Amino acid sequence: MRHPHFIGPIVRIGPNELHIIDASFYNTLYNQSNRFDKYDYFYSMLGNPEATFPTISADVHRLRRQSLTPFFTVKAVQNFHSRLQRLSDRLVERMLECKAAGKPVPLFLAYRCLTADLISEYIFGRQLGLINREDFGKGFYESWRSLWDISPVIRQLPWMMKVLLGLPRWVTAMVSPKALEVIDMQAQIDKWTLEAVSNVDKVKDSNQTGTILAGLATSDVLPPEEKTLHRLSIDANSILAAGFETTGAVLTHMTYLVLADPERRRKLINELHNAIGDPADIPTWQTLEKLPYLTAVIKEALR
Amino acid sequence: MMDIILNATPMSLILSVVVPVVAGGAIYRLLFHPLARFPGPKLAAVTTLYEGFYDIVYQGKYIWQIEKMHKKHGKLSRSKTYGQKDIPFQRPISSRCHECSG
Repeated sequence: MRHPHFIGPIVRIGPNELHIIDASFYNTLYNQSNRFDKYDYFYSMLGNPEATFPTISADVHRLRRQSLTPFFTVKAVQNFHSRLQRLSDRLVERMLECKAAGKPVPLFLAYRCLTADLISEYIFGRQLGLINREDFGKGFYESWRSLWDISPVIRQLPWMMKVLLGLPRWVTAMVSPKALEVIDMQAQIDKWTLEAVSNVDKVKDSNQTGTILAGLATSDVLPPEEKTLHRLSIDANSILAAGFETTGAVLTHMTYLVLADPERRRKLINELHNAIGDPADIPTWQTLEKLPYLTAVIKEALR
Repeated sequence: MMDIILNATPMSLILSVVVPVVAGGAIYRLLFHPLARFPGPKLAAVTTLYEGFYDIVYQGKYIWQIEKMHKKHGKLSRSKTYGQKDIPFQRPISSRCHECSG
């Protein structure tokens, strides 16, 4: 040990874990040229090392990441625009229904309905249908949330996940109803994954934009062992979670910040009024993304 | 040898096997682990259950505890600046007593 002690913006927060409280270090650690493996202890929390997000090995991660890239290009999103528009319209309908009934709109959930239905449409070719639910998907959200509630326990005892999955249903129900909901959701996703993957050929014939699952199943990038139904289903679950919670949260915060600030709200509404002639005919996002104030609002919410 | 193991009472097994393994692991993590020279609570260096406690019992609030740890263990360094390429790991520091006096 050349330097027996260290004093700095670094503390050891676990046996194998340091914490660095220096924002400038971020770019040193997180950049394209670093090929660090992920910390398996930390990512063990969700019990899904086969999904892209918590992949430990940097090389395997690169491969899986590459297999997903085609679905998130500008062009891919453009292809998806009409379906996004239909869902947004449906959300507006639901909001108007609430208005007519004199009820508040639970935006936290409402936006997550939008994003969850959207990403599930993209992954499986079918929507979860949360946006039509009376409770705006509250039940769904709570059961999904429960995975996060048990995740710190799983992180300490990673074998717990296997035990929970291996136990008979009634035992799990007794030990942890939340865990049961998580397991049931994974089972549902297994089923949909199977459907989406078996529909690969049909989709090709009908000339539709393919689902993410169909794309992964026929990917040139992934070797066969990465295309097992088991792995695809786990990745589907992970992409679903990553796709709806993040975007839903940004929309929620953005709406709050705009509504809480009359001056900015007025500016934004003015800009949108000028850009959108007829509310029934919303311009494409290529047009909308040129609006300076709207873009600033979105960027600020993302920040 | 087999005899010793077979005749061992549970208590003597715990004393002769479990305790040395756990103690050995703790000593390794505190003194010989590559991260041993970094400051922080000794308990956190020994077991992940320290982090687990804050994340499970206080539902994900370890980040606030980490902030406190920085205040306690990293005072002196606050005034120092690190360049982006100057990886702080390489900075030689003479003694932890600086920290106490800071």
